[in-house]
Amino acid sequence: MKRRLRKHEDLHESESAGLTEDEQKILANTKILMHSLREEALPVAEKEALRMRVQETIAQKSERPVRSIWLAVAASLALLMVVGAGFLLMQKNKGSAMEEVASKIQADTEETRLQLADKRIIHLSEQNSDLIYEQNGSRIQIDSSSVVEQQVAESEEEFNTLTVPYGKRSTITLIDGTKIWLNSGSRLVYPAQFDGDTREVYLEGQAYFSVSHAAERPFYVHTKNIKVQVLGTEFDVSAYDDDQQTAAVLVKGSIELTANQKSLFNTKNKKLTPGTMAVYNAATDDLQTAGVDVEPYISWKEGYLIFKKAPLRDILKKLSRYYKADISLGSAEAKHVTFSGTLDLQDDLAMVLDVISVSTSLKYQQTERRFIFR
Amino acid sequence: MTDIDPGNDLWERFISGSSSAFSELYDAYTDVLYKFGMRYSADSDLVKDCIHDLFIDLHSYRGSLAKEVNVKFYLLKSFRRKLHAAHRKSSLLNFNSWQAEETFGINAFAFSAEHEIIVDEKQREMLDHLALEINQLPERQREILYLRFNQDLDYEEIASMMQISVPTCRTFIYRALKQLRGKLEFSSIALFLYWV
Repeated sequence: MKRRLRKHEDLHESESAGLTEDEQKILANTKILMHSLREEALPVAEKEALRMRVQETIAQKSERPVRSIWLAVAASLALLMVVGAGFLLMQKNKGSAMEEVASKIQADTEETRLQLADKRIIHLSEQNSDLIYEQNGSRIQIDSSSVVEQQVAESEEEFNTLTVPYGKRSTITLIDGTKIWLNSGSRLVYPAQFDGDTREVYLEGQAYFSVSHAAERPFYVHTKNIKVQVLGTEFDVSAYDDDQQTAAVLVKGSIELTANQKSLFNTKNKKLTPGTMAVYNAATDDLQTAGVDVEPYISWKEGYLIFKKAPLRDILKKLSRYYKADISLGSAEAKHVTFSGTLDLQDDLAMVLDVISVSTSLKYQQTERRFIFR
Repeated sequence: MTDIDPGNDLWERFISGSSSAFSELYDAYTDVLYKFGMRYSADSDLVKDCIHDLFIDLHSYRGSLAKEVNVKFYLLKSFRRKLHAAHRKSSLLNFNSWQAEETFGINAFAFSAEHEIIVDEKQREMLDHLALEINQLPERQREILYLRFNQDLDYEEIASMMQISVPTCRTFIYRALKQLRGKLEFSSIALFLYWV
């Protein structure tokens, strides 16, 4: 009886009231123990990586709320038409043939490399190398200092591949006079010689194209997620694998973008006018266009970057590729910082980072090739 | 201990749509949630996935969340539910699950020897011993002790989180304390005999 009563009253406010001395000791010790448990802490880097994941999911979600019902409808229809879709997917085009070539080439390289159709590999040691195709594509002038010769087969199914690692750049002039600037961490697959009705290349990463005019032979840039059709024009394509989106910015002329994703009812495509940027998000199959100032998107080929209120995260990603260094944000406040200005890529990385540091008043720490802004 | 309470200001700014408040909320509670989650599961990826899902839900439903809440309690409760569901799903996928313990529960406690607040060597030994004792208590009693004294939740909150009544919750704690005492006495006798 007494015990029952105590149970009800004692534990009403806190546990300690009315306990025996021993019980109180146990209680006190339990409290101390519970406040000094061995616990697993989340490492800062993992916390930041998880934050990025959360933000990316949110970004993806916010782009498609209205379409989700239609997606559901389309999904159930697609289920009924799986056979038809399978047929569509079986049709192989030149873009996917080149994509296959690209996928077979070893990715991790320190030097810029040119792989010829006969599988020979030419190493290019310059920071910014330059290739010019001559004589039906059988002769390649490299850095105006050496020449490589190759057999050019009749069939167009034999490709050359130029791989530019992080930290390097290259320009290439194809046999039709088209000039292409390849940015760091990019790869271009192309035939040594164009014959037939079209000129087609495959790109991973970022490149600026100045396509020579030939109305009767349209030029196609294939990427993993979109296809760009060109008549004769200047534009930039950015299709990095580790970016969510594929983007094209048109400087002059006209291009048409088509999403690769096979939709049974409507394939996404858009015609661009100069000064327009198109952004395609493969995860949501969403193709958007907007008028932009093109300069910030193409300045990299002249060796500088221009930013207008760009998030620091985007800037550091670009610099990481360009200089092949690991640059990251170490604090939450730094995530909201933006930067406007011009960065000269001729400068060494430390100098470029100093410029950012001064104008954003963020400090950075360096350990070997790792830089962290706080 | 894990008491970081930036108050309801932050919560209200978050509900009204501020993205910087969302980020601050992440900063303030992720570590707490992670430690809490690792108490229930040894799978750090599963815990991180649940944190991810929790913040995605918060962001999606922020317009309809209540303003007057104990933020930490609200987060822990939703998080525990997610952990529970994820745990069930992963044990369904695991063929050996019928052998393993199927119930969702709290992991064993260990006293952290590095902790600054304990200086006395004798006290350390005693706490080590107490941890062993507590680990032998029934699952739910252990969990209640943890929620009450580590997470500093009150009875109403614990009851709501564990879906039991408030009196049951009190009884559990009371019983746990009684049981610990019994065991401690027993083992101190055993210890005494050993020394003789």
